[in-house]
Amino acid sequence: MILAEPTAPPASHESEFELVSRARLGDGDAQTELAERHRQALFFLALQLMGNRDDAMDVAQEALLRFFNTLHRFDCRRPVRPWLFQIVRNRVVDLYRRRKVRRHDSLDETDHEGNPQHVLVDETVDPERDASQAQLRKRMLAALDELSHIQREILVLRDYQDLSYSEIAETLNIPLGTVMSRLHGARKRLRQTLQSDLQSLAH
Amino acid sequence: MAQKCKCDFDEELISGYLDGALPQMQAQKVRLRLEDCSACRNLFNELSALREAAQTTRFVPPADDEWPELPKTRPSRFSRSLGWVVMIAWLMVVSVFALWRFLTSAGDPLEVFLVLGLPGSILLLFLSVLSDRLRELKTDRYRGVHR
Repeated sequence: MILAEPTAPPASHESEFELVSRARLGDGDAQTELAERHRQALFFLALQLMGNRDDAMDVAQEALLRFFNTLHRFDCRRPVRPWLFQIVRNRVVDLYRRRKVRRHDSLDETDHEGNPQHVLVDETVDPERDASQAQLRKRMLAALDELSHIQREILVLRDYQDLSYSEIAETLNIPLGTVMSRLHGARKRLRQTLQSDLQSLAH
Repeated sequence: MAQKCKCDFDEELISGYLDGALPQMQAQKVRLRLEDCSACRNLFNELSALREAAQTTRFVPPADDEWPELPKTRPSRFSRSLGWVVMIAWLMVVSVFALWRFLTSAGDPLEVFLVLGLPGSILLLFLSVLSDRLRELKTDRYRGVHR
């Protein structure tokens, strides 16, 4: 099975600045190019925050539409992705708020044959070594559901999306100093939940 | 149970060190701590394992044909805004003028009820929804989430 590439935007001859400038003027091709560059990353973020594939598709698509509709407020010199992530994250909060309850679908769900629904299995690595790693990955996805929304989003942004502290601060609209303490709180909680898995991994 | 560092070292710094987010001085402080304290080293190793697990998780991406086509948008903000302003101004002028003309000419209470009943009830419904929304805001579980 082919693994999905990490979510870094693909290299292109045309800079993002030029694309955004054209999209701002209503250029449909530039909008399509921007959408194709970022939609997968937006989908993964929404999936990691909500655990539901259909919702994640909707949120990613809506985020792109909202981005194009508010391009006049966007400073073209800034990178696009944190801004898009901020829209996705706000949209997820809006959805939960509207549904009144926090209903994360579990990311570690399996289909009727017992295969993980959302996660690709890497068959190229050493199966013996990977068994406990795979178990930890699976348990970690389940453990995300036990975190508060605030803890889950910061952990997803740092450890799954690999955003820097300043990008996280921008996305969540919080001071840079808060990022480290909030992130550590989330990791501490996760570590407590997964203590037995971590110990078996160490031995 | 996880071993806990007895020397009250700030664990947040270990998390920051793992992310490469500390200034040089603090990073050096953590490096020395990790050499000396097995509990801190254990914490660092476990946090590293968690981060590695997250970073090596690969999610199933949607196929290209699963994405709906984006509607082509053209910049029509000016005409849209102007349209709203003109429409709201027109509605306000016409409503105030019609109400004034009606109240100064109508005498029959039934006629007043028939004409003002519908807009009056819509206004009451709107106010009721508005008050519900304001009440919900006070108990919103995501109030603390910064926008």
